[in-house]
Amino acid sequence: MNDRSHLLPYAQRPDFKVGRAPELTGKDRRLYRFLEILPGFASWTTLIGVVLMSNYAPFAAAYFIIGFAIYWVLKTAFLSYHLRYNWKRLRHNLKLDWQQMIARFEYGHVYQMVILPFYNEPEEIVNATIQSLADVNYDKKSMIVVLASEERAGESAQKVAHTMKEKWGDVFGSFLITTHPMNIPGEMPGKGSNASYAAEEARTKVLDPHGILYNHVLVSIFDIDTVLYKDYFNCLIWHFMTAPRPLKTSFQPVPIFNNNIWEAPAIARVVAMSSTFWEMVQQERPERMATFSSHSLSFKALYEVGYWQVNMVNEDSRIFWNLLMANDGEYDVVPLSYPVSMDANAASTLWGTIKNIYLQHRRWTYGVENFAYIIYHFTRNKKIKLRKRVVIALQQAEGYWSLVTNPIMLFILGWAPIFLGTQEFHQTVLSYNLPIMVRDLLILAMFGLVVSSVISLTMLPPRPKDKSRLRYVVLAVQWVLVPATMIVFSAIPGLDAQTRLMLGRYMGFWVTPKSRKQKA
Amino acid sequence: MTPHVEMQPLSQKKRRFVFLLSLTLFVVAVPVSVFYAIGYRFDFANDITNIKSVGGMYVRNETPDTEMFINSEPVRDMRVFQRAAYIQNLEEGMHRIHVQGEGVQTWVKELPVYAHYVTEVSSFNLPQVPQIRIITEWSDPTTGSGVLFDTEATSTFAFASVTAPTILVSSTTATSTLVANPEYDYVQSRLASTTQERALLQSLRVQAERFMFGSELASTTPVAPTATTTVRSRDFILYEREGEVFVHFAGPSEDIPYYYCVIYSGKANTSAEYGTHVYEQVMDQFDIVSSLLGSRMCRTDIRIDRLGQTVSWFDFFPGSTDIVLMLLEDGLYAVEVDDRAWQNTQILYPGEGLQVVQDGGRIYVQDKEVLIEVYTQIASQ
Repeated sequence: MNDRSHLLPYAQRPDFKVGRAPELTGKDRRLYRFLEILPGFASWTTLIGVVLMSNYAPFAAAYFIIGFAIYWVLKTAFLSYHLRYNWKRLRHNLKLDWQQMIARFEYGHVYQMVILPFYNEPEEIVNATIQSLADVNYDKKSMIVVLASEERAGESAQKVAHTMKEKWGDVFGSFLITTHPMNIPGEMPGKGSNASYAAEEARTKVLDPHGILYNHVLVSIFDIDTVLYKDYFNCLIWHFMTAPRPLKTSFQPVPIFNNNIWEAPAIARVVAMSSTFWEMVQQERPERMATFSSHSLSFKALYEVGYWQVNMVNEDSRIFWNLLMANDGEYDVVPLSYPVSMDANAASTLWGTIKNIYLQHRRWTYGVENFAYIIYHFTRNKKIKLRKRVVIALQQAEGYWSLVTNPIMLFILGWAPIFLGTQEFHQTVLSYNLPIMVRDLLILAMFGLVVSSVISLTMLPPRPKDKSRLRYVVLAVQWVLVPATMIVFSAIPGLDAQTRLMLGRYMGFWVTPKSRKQKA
Repeated sequence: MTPHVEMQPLSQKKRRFVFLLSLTLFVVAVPVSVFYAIGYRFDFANDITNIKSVGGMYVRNETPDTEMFINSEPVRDMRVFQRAAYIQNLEEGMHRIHVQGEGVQTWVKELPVYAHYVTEVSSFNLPQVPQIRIITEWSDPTTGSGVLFDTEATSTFAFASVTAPTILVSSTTATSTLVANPEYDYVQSRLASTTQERALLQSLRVQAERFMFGSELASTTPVAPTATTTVRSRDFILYEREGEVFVHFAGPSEDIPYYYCVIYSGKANTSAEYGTHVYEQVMDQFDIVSSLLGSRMCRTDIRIDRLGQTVSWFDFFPGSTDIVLMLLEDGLYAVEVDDRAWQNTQILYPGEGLQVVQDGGRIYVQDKEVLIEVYTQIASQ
């Protein structure tokens, strides 16, 4: 991999895969560090600003809060509209006969490479994922399964990998086990480094020996708890064949975190479904999309950027930005509006669940490290259209800023002028009307949750026999937890992540523990 | 039936329409909401002026099961938890508020409301019939009931509602079968110490009066409360001077309670809105605090209405600095500090020659030979 000639010209830059400011020098380093500081600084400035404004300029703060609450109501309605539409499209796509849809295409030359990075997850989880691969409506002999293990996970992981190969090896065209060595200089232990190592191993051990062209391989990287719906690859082929520039496109399914939804506590269900809904909304706004979690793309595109980054946390979204920069802005994400099932983050205890969700979301929201990368390379790659750079920069800035500040401003700081305002303010009708109006607007915004509640019920897997029908009522009502989950599992971990980045306390990869209750 | 055509993603056209619709709503809704929040209303009834300014009134009321009326119209949106009502959309001018309930004394106040401003006020409603518990010296160990000897029971408390069970026995009954009530001894000791304090207070008052040449009404000019006795609760000092009782606010000006201040609008208007006594006090000792609506004038001392009687004991009402307890010649009274318009005065326990002590938020009264605890709410509440 030391030969960089296969990389696209922009990807050959030494700073192309910069992970953090200390990897650069001079002005580049200062710029990158500034960009790392910016999101946290903006968020803290906003939050502290609202507090100060509430104290010193309560009238202005009150006007701002009213405007902000109205913005929130309209944003909720706007997003609910997108969510509802994508829900309809998702259901429609699940009903489609994809085999018939792709019958008109010549796709026999396309290989499906499936990379499954895993660490120390239990055998039943790995097995369920591969079982679902074996069950798909697709020619298994054109599938290359790469079970990507970690050396640092020890013997038990190796044992799981070899058990899987023994069990499933003959089902697929190729079944490769890779073992990512530990302590490789310049690498951060995590999914990205493991997946990159696996992709290169697959290239040298499967593709090249068999003379398989890289542009004939579609790579799907799935979290190890991903369970596929039967037509995933047919749906993927259809979109690959109909995409305007298939080799310059990533394909994003909808991750539904419902494998263990009946066992997970309410808080885990709400958070998991909220994540799914956010991805569903994004599916209808592809211009705002980056890849997230499980996704697919051409091996050629992947190879041209040197696979996933190995020196940062959120490689799943970073790979899109790598591809966008390397292709001078000419790279897309195509939403599949087709689901893949994953596990809701649930531990054996409620506290453990809360802790795991917090850590998982802190890792996800640490995706803010992409902001520095995006803006830095936007200042370097002038081949990307200016308009595109400006639009993406603003979208990203707004996204990271609102993720952290909006819930806190709405549910906590919305009341600040009442507590912090001057006595002069407290005597006004405005002071008394402010909490009433904010409350009423939030209630109005809660209608968006009704939409969420209804949609969530339709996306549940079949009810296990040991679960009462009354559980459906709980599943419908659980959405009242959203204001709390938005603060605890979105805003606060987001602020935590942004603050760490701002202070240069860079985060490492945290593996979400996966476990499922054994079915009786 | 299985569909064979992929459903297209949401079109740019539809998305743009929804976005522009949302943007339009935002642009319209924000100024409308802000103007509403400030206190502007569309007046559809009036052909000439179609926008009017309104104010409001915020009435705190801690007494359960009461009804509130504004200008004799019932107020319906009382808050359940805070026991307060925010009455909106009031036109500028004087408004009479009264709070009443079954079995409680009625509270009435008439206050001005200004456009865009909220007039704050606190109401209180003490029971019409005193709610008492007799504290007996002895109690029956078998039933746990207090034992009251008939010599003590010369007053039968027919005017009051007695809560705890009490057995009336003959004064010749032996006490050897009864057990002593430690609460009785404790309250007695507290009353004794208070009596000593009161005696000291009285002697000092007599000494002070020797040097007085007239009996003019005590001035409310703020002075350091050097009275013979004071009660302090947080930033509030309750003191007596020249037979009058005052509440002095000693905290920072930004924390001064609303009822210490008035919106000054000239002598005639201010006197009409708040009462001449309030006007005179604020002119005497005002401290102008900035206000959006003219000058907000505050004073630091408010005199408590003693109904022309002699005050023999005073303290803050349990858990409140807005109400003062005063033992007058004919009973124990609660008087609100807020003297705008007038001070509501409600009797808590009638009687002459009473002795009172407040301890740990409880009010104990010695009525002749009997010790009682007086409740501030109807027992069932």
